[in-house]
Amino acid sequence: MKRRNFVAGSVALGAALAMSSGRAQAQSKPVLAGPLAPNPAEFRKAMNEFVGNATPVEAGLKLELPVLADNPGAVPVHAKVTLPITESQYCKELIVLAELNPSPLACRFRFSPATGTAEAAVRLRLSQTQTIHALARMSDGKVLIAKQTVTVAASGCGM
Amino acid sequence: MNRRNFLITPPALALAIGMGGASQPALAAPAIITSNSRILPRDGKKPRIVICGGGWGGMTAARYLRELIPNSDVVLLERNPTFWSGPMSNKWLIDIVSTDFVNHDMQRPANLYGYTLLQTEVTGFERDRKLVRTAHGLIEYDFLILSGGIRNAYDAWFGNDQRAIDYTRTHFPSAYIPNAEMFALKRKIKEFKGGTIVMTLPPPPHRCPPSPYERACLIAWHIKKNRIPGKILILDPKPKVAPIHMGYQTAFQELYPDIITHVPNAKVVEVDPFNKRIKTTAGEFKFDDAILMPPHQAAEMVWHAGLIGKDANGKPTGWADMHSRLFHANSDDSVYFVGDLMGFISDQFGHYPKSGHVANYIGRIVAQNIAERVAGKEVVARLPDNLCYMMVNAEPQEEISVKFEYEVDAASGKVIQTQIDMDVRTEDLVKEDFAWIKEKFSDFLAI
Amino acid sequence: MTKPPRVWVSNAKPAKGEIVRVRAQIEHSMESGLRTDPAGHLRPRNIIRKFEARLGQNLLFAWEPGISIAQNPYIEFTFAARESGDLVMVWTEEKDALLEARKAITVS
Repeated sequence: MKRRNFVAGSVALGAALAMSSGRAQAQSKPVLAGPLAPNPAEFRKAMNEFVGNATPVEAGLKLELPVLADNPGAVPVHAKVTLPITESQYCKELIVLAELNPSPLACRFRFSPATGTAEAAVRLRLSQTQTIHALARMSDGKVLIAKQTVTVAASGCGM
Repeated sequence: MNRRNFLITPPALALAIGMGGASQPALAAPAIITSNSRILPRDGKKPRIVICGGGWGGMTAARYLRELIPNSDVVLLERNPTFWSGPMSNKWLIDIVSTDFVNHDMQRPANLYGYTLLQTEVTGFERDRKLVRTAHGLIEYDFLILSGGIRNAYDAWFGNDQRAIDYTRTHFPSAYIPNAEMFALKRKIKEFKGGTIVMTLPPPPHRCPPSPYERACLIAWHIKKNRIPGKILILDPKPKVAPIHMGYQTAFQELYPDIITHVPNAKVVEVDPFNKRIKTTAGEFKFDDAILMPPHQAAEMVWHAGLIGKDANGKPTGWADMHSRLFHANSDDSVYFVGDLMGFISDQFGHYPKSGHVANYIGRIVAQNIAERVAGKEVVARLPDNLCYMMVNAEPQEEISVKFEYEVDAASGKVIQTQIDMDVRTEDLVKEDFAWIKEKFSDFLAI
Repeated sequence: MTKPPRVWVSNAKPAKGEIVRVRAQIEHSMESGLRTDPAGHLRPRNIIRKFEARLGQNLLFAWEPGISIAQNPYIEFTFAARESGDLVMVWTEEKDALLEARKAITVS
């Protein structure tokens, strides 16, 4: 399998590496062009599509991630609905958004009444310092929201 | 210096060390074979390759040289009487594998593959005359492979205070050079009654990067299982656990939360072994017992050969000064390096991981390269890979792993590394680990 | 792709109602489609697009990763143990199912 890490176009090298392999330089002024440029329109679209007509509530959803990402190629993100989960009141879906990544919708989780919980952890690759958002839709239509900023720093390879 | 090679030997030994040239009449007094004796006479015009160090790399090189150069005269010099594997030795510390699993006879593969094994200490080189100096005498070579592993650079802590070095070595053994100190550490673990064990980690690059954490996990498991009131303090010069960061972090937190404490950014400033104190950049610590791992450097033989690299300021790098793609000395292409003593490869990742897997891989590559040269063919630059399995739990047995892949960046010609941490600890990785070691052992130990 | 998925469950013999934690990771480059090869050609996107975990007839958990998910994708989720059966996990690459893993869960 070819794993070489080149990003199309001439962009900030550190961020290019961050996206592709987890090696990165600190980005003091993250102005990214080319394929790593943020996509604010898509971010708004993903957010609006999920929220719909609901009014997001900033409670009941716990989002955990490091404040400082020493390896931008694999930033651990953990999301958990803390409201009681029952057969009648459960989480249907949960999304994670990386606001300034070129493709902001990082992933979607779906749960069912059989799950009995609503919790997941993944690892993101981040192009630059930004805010991570998590949104959960409950079976009664309620939308929960949480966010946190993460600083993308130089990689601590350690080898 | 008189370099003539007079043999002063009793008759019974004369045959064993016999060689052409002048010999002296036997003396009345018991004779001594001097270190200036020439031993292992050349066998006609066969290309002679002398390998210094019979570990994972040296034994692999010996096997493949014999296979790839059928008329080669291969000599393997090893100071230990038997082979001891670094890989799996952490598991041996807490009896997951037996002594027979890590400790093996070397004569069998030597006879099977057809190389000459000599138990001796390499004491120096005369590269201008293509001679290796050993405790038993001088040995000629056409090609030389240095595969002696690492030395413990206690001098980085203690300068030339030999008393402090000896006390540290004998009381808080590092046990990272097979098989010196391994039994001492095992006994220490068995006899441990409680208190704080400090483990200092060497700064990178060092032998087997993920293994000190494995050792911490397995000792912690022993402590947990036997309900010993003990703690392990890992003093790590790195800013975080690496490699397999998340896998280890999870193991520490979930399996040994009350036993293991990992202290990042703890570079050793001062060690007082007599009063059991250690000063680091992350604070000062007292300990009841310790595994004090000093910085690692290339084995003494590379220093003896005068082939240690220099940095931009002219200071020794501590590692072999070598061609990053062809593994021979930059200043002497008849000398090759295999295994942990190898030097700088790429500014993207520094050194190849100093692991048994890489030593085995490079041992084979170097044998191929020497075979190509002997045959007058073009020498092909080849890349290794690396794979390490690390046990973090002994009941049930669960492991994590890290894999490294290498390729050459076409534009810059630099070697590029991709690291794959497998952080989810599983029992099937244990099975793969044992399948891996079986395959490797069969490659150079013929078992 | 020769290596099987690595799967860990907190307890394969949970009590009824117990929360079981599952961790799973596979080796995959998660090619984003944003990168070029040395010749300057764009590497086609090739990511794990879907992960599903089922127990019996029930879909317990589904994950739809995008290109912002790290290489060698790691997923952790929980579920409440209600019935015994095989926990079956399937990873799907762009179009086709790629890998499958099973863990027997026995509820006591």
